[in-house]
Amino acid sequence: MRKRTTAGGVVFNVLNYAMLSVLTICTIYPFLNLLAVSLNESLDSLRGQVYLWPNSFTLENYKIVFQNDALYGATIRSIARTVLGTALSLICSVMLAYTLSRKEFFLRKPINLIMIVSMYVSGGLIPTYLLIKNIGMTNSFWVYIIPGLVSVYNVIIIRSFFDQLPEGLIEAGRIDGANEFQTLFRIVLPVSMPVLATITLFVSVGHWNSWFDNYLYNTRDNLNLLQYELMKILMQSTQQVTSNATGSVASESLRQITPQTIRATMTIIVTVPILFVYPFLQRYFIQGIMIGAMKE
Amino acid sequence: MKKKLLLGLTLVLAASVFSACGSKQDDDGQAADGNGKVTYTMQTWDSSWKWDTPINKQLEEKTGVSFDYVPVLDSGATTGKVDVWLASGDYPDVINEAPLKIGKYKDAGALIPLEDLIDQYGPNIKKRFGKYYDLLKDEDGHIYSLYGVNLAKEPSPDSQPSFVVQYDVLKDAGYPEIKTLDQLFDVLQNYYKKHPKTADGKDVIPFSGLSGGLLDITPGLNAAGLPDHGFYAIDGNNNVSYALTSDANKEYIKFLNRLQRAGMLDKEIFSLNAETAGAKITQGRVLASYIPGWLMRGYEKSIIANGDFDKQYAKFSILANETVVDHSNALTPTSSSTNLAITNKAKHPERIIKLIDYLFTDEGQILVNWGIEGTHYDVVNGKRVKNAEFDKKVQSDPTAAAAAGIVGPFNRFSFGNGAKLDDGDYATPVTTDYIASTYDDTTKDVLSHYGKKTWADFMDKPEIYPTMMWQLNTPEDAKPIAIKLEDIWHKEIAKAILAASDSEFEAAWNGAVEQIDNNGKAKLEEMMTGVWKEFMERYNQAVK
Repeated sequence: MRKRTTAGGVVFNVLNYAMLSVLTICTIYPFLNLLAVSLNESLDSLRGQVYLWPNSFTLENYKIVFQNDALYGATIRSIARTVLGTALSLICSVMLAYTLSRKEFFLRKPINLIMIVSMYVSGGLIPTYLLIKNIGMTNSFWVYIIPGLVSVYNVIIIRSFFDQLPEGLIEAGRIDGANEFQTLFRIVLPVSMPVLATITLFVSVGHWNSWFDNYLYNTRDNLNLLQYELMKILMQSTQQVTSNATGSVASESLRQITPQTIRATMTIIVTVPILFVYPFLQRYFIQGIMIGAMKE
Repeated sequence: MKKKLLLGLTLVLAASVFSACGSKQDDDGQAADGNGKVTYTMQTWDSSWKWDTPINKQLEEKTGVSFDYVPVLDSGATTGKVDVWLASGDYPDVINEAPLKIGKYKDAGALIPLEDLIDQYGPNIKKRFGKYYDLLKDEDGHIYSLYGVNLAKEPSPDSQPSFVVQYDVLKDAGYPEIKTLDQLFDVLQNYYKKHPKTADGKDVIPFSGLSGGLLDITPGLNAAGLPDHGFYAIDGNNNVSYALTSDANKEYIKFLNRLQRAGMLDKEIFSLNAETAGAKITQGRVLASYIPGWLMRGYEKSIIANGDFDKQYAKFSILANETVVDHSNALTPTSSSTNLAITNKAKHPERIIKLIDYLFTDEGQILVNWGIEGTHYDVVNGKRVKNAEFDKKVQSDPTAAAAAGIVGPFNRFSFGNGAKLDDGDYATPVTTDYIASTYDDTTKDVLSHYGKKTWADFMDKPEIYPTMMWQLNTPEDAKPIAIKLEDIWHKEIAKAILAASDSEFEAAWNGAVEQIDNNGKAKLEEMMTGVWKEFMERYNQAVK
């Protein structure tokens, strides 16, 4: 039997959907607008009036941005960094968190303390720079991965999740003869997918977006990441517009694209790949893996 | 026992690895002395610049010096990489920075004084700076950084006045040369009466522009014929006064008010930025405005791309009235902005000075500004002209100029567009003839009605000013006053611009003046006078 809807309920539903639609439009519109601008002829964009779709469609902006040969290497490095960095970071964080969640581990308290202190007190920019430099990690790819390998914040999140797993689950593994590694990888991790998905998302988006370590530690072109290369293109286009004092306004120079368009194009280029991570992780947020793991 | 041994060995191994890295970084290719080849590391501020270009190769052949560029893009962060370098002692041999950062490096003892080296190895630097040489000196009497000297006696051919009027309007009015605000008003009004709508039915906006300082500060002081000292005007006795509330600026605000009352001022004028104002201008709806050249060039590209040649803009120097004398085209004797300093990491710094000295010779100027004969420029009838093929390539491919090395960190040692070398020809390729050749036919036709070749011809001869007020450091306790006064100004002056009658305008204007007077104007003037006089004292001593 269908539930009868009252007049108030209808009003509520209508308002609710209207509100949510407005909210969705507010969230999505800026992105669609950027997409439209990035697909629009750059000089036409200067005239304004580009809203949801391009007035004069062109792929020229993407062509010009990708004309930069450095971009291919940078894309590969960025992907490598994101994949490798996320995987290593996840493995290390999980192992540390598991160790710290075991009550029989006798150094549990002091290590916890040290980690928490390091969360609040950091060395600061310059000492960190000196450290990285003195251990010889400047101008190397590993500076992207090793310094940020274990984040205390993430470890605490994972540990808290492990802490609330039923003790019986691990004991059962023990009784069946599993060692610590087997317990962690065969029993604990499969039931911890939601937290792993969360951390994967945090870490991978962080890796993908980060550019400051590139800026600070690596000065050689063959180590630059996508974000940094794109920033360079943007800075150069801005300089071209402001300092193109000799640039004639004759027709050939018109093919150059404007900073506004470059910004839009680059935003799309850097956002779209990382968007693909979400659908893969989505289901772990929805499914409750823990259901039925233990019979109380 | 065994474990301890293992630990010890590991430590020794680790230490040796690190120390090996350390020593390797120390002698990075700087072994050569005397006249052999040397390589220095140098911070650059544009990552498209490469050392490996034809022009730089020639420079290396002449001087034996090459550079390893370390590009640092300013991230906009408060602490940049250059600061981190300084704090960690990890800076390159040569840094290129603004005076403020150079000062930090100097205070930290990271820079070497250059005057003795210049005495010994830099005769051309001394010769070209001439009486301005001592301006290079820091307060402590040493020279820590080097930059270019302006030797131009005429406005740079690519400069242009900032009042712009659409070609269509001029054509309709029979190409008058607009010299005062009143003339501008009449011309705009006549045109607007005849053409209230554009061809595609949009409303015409007789006068628009950017909000903020480009609406109610810069144009007013420009029309008053004042050089660009920011908010200030300086009289013959070196007294600094706050110029916004001066009578000179009032004339311009009155002009805006007149436009507003005639319904000719853009209704959105208080909220337009470079993008939104630009959109209106590129749509061809705006008849006149005040837009500096660096913004205008971008807009005009779009107008041309759309084929609206008649909707381009003429650039005039417009003054408040006939009695005003134009002093607005100001030039400083040196081009201090991003300056070159040599750090104590550099071995044999005299080699760098020798290279810079070479840049101050005619040969060096031609090399960095014009390039290589036959490739980047040709000599036609004894005069240097840009190589047509190369110029075409540069115009169509944004990376071509950097790849050739015609733009790079050495351009700033240029003597300036319009300056002449000892051979009587121009130091840079930006000549009147070249700029005129880049205009489209419509522009050439418009200019021919005025008997001029470039828009720079509408400007007065540049006057040399020791420095501009905004180049000097504002004292810390003056900054909050200046910011507050500017806020009051923008807020109050909007009321005057929007006033519906003369009496209302006067009341609003007087209210603004009064508020500014009451909020520390006198104190600000006093402080800035102090700054200016202090500078002038040093300047007069240096230049004599």
